[in-house]
Amino acid sequence: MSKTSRIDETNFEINRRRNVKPHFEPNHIYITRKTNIEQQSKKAAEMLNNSFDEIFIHGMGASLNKAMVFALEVERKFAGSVKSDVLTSTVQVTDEIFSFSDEHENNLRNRPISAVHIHLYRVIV
Amino acid sequence: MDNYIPADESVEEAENPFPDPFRDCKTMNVGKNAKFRHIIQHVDRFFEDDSNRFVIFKSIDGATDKAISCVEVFKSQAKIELYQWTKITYSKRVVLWKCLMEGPRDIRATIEVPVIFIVVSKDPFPGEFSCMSMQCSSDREIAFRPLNSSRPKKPTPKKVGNRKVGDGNKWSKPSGEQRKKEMKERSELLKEVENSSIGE
Repeated sequence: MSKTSRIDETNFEINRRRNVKPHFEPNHIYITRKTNIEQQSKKAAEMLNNSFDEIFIHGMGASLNKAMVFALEVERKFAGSVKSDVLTSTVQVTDEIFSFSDEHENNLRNRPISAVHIHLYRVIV
Repeated sequence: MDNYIPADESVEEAENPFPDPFRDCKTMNVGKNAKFRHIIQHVDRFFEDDSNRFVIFKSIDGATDKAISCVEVFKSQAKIELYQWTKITYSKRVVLWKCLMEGPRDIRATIEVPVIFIVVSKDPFPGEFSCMSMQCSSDREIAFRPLNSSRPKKPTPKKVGNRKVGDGNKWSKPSGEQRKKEMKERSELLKEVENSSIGE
């Protein structure tokens, strides 16, 4: 089994390790495939109105598009009083590959996936 | 919506949000079915000419994730240092739904699709455009990392109730010293009792 080849899931179990979050502050929002955008945008608007002048949105892999939709939604809600900075990066994620049979060994696989980081901040007028 | 049919569809394309030198330059449209290999080869050939200094990657049909991945792959394969400037905006798709029945009005639905514009340049961007959206391919730092970022400590659990901990609690398991002390007291008491019984 080479590292780049596709893994036959009938003989192996793939366990995706959770990625380490780079920030732990409450104004950092991580968007996943399961995030409800409408609910989260309400929370973000509340944060910007009451507690923080800036929020950070992080999305990676399948949730890149969702993170951008979310950022645009928050920007639209504030009608120009909030602006955004966008950065992109590549994140290394790890998969644990367990073999069902004794023929193959258990393995670790690293995959690079793209990530987006959006900084939303209040514009000082 | 059973009695409605889509009659007309118009798309309001997103405008290039970058200032003048980057407005009318070569644009690579990255769609859902685009092949990384073809786009990267094309940009490589474009960059071989020294007069071409920058190129724009633009996502179409909501393929923003693919555009980002394409730029990341291109940056990782490039041998020179590249500068990147990213902006997001949206295009509008307006769909007119006509009603088959007489009476109800037609519906005009506006769908906003995110569009990402990424300028990849061989030269650093001019100082007057400086902003936080710019990055360099050699940057290895985590994005928007504050200077003193550390994991917050878990708060110590609050003491609940009047339960005493340690020596004060009579229900807690006695320590070794306490047990020795108790044994000593008991043996002394026994000796006293024995002595008094012998005296009688």
